[in-house]
Amino acid sequence: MLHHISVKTKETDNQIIQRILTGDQSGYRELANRHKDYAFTVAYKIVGTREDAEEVSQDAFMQAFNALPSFNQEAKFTTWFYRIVFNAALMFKRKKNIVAEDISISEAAQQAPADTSDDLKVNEQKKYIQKALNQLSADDVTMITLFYLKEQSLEEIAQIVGISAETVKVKLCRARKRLAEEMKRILGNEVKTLI
Amino acid sequence: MEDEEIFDILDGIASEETIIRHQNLLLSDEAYRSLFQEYAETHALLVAMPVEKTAVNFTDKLMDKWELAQVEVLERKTSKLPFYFLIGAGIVLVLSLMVVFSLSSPSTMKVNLNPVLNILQNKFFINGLLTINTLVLLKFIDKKFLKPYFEKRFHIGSL
Repeated sequence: MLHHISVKTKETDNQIIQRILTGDQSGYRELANRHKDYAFTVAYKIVGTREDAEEVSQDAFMQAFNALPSFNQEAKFTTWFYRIVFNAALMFKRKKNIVAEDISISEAAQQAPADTSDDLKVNEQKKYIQKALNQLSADDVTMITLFYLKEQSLEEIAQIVGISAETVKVKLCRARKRLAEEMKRILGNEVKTLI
Repeated sequence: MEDEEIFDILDGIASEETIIRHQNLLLSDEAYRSLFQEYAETHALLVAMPVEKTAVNFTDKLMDKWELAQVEVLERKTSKLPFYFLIGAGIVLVLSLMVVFSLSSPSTMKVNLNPVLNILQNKFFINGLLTINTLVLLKFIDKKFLKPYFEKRFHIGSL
């Protein structure tokens, strides 16, 4: 049994997909468990709230499951799947015309007293990063998120976003610059309000 | 120094020439030092950016949605039944009309049904038909009840 489990964990995404296509329904759950956190994080960074991010990532999984028979098995699943997540999040944002709000930030602030000093620091950092990311375009956020979280190569990000690797490099540089400026502005405002 | 070159330094992919230029600027240019510090802090925060965790029941909710969607697809597929029924009814109607007209016409045709009846009354034929029906029934039970039941048990067991 243990041997069976260890063999299963070594399976690639494409092998799981192969199993799904031959009728093994349990593969869907395995794919979801494997990629849910990253899909959720990418969606969260773009749409800005946990509730919406959950809806978007669930929708992206449904789209991916439906389209699995047409997935080119020589391609990398994550590249294909993150493109779906990216598009789903973008569509959602356009549809709802989400204006970045501080709901999640105020929720985090309410939880702060129960945190230890380390947790507090991490929460503060998360708060400022998310606040700054909310000011950037979905393209910028996706590139930053994919580049830092999943350590995707520029070529993979290019495939996800649908532009050339050179353009990704330029856009990523601009996005990071904008983010740094936003962070500076937000932190400046925070200092002002404290004074 | 270009912004892109600064980020190359932070990503660890800058050329040796860029690194030397960067080190010289750090020592000599206050504005550059401040800009680099700003980018480096943002970069450090992004590197430490955690992966967000989904709700505990995320996968279960997704699987429920997926199964529901599959059922809907199945229902949509089976909803073609009335169409097939109408086609069948149409064929039966046409055949009935043909028989009625042929009987009512003065030149009737004699049909010998004995060979067909012999086949239908054949013991081997009846046994074969019963075996096929039993196999189809077992396959149906396996697909509709046993397979979903054991799959569900397997999922729960694997959690």
